[in-house]
Amino acid sequence: MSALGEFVGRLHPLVVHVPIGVLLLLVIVEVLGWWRESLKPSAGVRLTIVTVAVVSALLAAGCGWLLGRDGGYDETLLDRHRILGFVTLGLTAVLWGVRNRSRIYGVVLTVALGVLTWTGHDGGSLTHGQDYLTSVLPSPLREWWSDGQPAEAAPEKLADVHVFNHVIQPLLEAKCVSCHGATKSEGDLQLDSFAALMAGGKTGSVVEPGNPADSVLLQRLFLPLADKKHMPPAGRPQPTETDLTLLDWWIETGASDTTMLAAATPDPDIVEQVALQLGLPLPPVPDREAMLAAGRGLERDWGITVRPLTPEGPWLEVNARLAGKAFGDAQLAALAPIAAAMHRLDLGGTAVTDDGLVALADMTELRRLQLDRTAITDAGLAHLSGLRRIESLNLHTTVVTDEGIKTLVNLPKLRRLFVWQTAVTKDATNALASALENRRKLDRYRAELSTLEKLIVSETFQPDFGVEPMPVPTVTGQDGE
Amino acid sequence: MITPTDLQNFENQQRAWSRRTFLGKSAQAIGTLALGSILNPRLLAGDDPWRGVLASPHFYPKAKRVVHLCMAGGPSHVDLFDPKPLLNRLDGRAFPESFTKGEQLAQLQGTELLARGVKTGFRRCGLSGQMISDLLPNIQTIADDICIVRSMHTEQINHDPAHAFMNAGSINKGRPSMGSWLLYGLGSEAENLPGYVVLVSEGGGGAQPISARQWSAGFLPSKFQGVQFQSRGAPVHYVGNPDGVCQSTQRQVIDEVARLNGLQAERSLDPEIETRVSQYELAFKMQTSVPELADLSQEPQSMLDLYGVKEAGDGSFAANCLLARRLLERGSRFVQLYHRGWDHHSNLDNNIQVASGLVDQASAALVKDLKQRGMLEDTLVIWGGEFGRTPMGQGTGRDHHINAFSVWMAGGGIRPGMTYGSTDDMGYRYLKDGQEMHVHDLHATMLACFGIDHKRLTYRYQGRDFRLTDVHGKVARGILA
Repeated sequence: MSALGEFVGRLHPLVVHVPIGVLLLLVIVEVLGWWRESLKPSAGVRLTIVTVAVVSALLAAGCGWLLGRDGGYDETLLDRHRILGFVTLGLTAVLWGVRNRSRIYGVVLTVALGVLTWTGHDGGSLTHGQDYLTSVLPSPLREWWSDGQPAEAAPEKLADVHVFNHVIQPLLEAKCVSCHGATKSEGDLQLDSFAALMAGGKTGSVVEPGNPADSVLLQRLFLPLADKKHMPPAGRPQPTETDLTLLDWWIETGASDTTMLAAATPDPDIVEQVALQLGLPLPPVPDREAMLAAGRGLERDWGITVRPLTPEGPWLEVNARLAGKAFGDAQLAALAPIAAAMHRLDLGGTAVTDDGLVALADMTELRRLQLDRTAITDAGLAHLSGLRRIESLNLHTTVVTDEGIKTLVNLPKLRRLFVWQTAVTKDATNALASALENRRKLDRYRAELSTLEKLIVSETFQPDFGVEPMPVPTVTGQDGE
Repeated sequence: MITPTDLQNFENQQRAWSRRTFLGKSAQAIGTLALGSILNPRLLAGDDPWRGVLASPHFYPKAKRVVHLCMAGGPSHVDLFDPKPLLNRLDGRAFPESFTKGEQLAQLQGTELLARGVKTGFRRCGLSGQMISDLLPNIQTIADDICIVRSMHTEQINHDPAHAFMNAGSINKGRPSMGSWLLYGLGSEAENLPGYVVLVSEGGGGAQPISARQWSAGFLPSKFQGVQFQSRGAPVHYVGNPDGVCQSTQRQVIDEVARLNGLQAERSLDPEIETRVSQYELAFKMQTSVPELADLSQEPQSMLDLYGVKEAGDGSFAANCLLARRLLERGSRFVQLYHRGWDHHSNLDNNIQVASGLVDQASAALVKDLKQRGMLEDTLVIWGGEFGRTPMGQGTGRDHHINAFSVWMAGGGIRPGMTYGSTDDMGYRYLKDGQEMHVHDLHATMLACFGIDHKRLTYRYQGRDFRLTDVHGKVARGILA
């Protein structure tokens, strides 16, 4: 089809509102005339309105017919809409013919109004998806509408969250399915079910399980808004940062449609995002006063220091380094009451061993852990796998080796690792660094894009890289002091 | 010792008194916990370590300790960290009068002012490309770990008041030094060693005396003052027991003295008695902790070579740096090393080479050593003098200069690999580019690294609340990581 035809076709959603409006105007005018003699329209007014209705309906039908040839719509619905559209046009023409025969004129106008409403609704369904209107009905009405079948129950606690059904699918429904659904499947892509999503579209699959950066779905979402390949198209509701994070995470963790949130052992940040998204209560934060009280007891018992890190909140820094060899596995286990509140734990130079590190399993909030100058080995590092938030890990002067370092790749937030005076080689740390970075390929891609956008902007506007522009140095040195 | 007599201090004493009464009573209860006390060193010690006046930091802290490498005498910023090509071009010619007219100068007042070029080259160092003089080849290697601040300025043009200003933010006697403020605010983790230790070395010509008032606690209780260790020979003299006195006898003596002091304290309510009791206790502990601290035979030869230590306790800056690291490892809060050898009024070319040679290797080694141990994460290193030196020559040297000088900082929450602030083309005055750094700003920034809001760490004395930054100070957020 010619580009001109396509262009004219796409004017349909614009033009179509003219006959709709004019016909409704006609109905209003006639009803008022029937109600009050003084408001009765003259033959000339009626002729004008009906004529405009016929001409605009003709234009709208023409555009619509061109648009319908593009495809990409649900065929059954499209056929019905096309027929109904022409029926509306025909009824308008009949109206013109019978405009002076008041009885039959009233009947035809009533029928035309009904057909018009039906046609318009179908048109809306074609554009926005079939459940565009019904999905936001108040819940009892919706159940009645969908033949008494209750909508899928929303989870009531985080443990009940099904990753695909409760998190991913609703997100796609909200932002994608109106164009990529059963009604309208642009690019032959349907995102209204797991099977359809994985089947992909015109250009092949859009989700590569385990590999967000290569998944076309995410690539399109991450393109700059100005890019014509960006999805959803500019002007449509855009996914939020949270939506993107969750999609990224879901694909990275294997894009499964069976996993429950609890079983996915996700990043605590993800749990938080899901909870916010679904309006579920966040995982409980330990009580500050209880943690501080427990900390004071532990200080007294074991010669360690337990200090709060924030003026509010329970977060603690625990230093056992000063207790030295008097602090061992038993003492580490005794930290259990404050385990959930620890952000930093210094076990440097203590007598803890591999076995004692079992206690770390409960310390999921740890950001910084120092195990330097202890007897731990590679076997002990296995107990670190639950430290999803750990950023800094100190292993200097221990007997850990390259083998142990490999297991650290599962600590997504790890940024600083100290392995001075160990058998760990530069190759192993480099491999770990690149493995950790690869996981975040998408983050880097996103960062690069935003830098690029800034660069492009700065060519025409003031540069803004978050720092003050350097002033031109003056030679006078007498700058107003 | 001046006894504070105002009401506020009286109230403080009352609090201390009632606490002691309380401790005395609870000691009886603790007696029943004899078994527990075997596991529990704190119960036996019976004292109450000062945990700081702040129940928790005002915001999330990065730093836990400071090592201040004070280059006493005032190193020349234009020769070390702030290259000025224009100054070199004007070498030997009249210094532009627009800079100096009406300015306060030290010894150059009223003399003919000539620009003095820089004799040594600079080079871009590390990935950050920071400019550092070839006089400091080792500090060049840590360019990516340090933040050079070129916009430092102070208010005091002579050594002693300038040191006082750098330490206490005021030249008035009786104001606490920054180390004392930190101990008052946060306490120290070291129980067997002083929390605030000072070591002094010299060399490089122009060794000006350093007064002990620089590490005074001022109006704060004197248990917060700095303790100067000897850098030659044993750090603390006479820590061993005399012949015929064993540790248990010593313990009995200390306990008896403490009892007598306690009686006196109940009568006179003098907080200095409490200080004395705690100092006796600390001294007793130091009888074992100091020999262990100073025993550099625990350090491998490679470590001595890294710092350039020829002989333990030889009074060198290098030996002091190594001792500083050992103090920081053992929990000291604030370690201050003065190197007296930077007052280069004459023979600058030779003297700056000597002084740089004496501090360069050990300064860089300290940063590297802290880094490999993972301690640079929470140790703030500050390197710099009490002021800078004039870009104008003074015979064969340079005079004191307060309008601009450079310091560098590393670790403890400071953003590495950046240069902050700048000076005019002659290196005469800091530029007001939003990155200026007054001494008060340095103090505010240092406290910010510890999670302390400098406006909220106060002490009421003579009817008003004092703070380290008095009524000034702006945190240089640009250098916080």
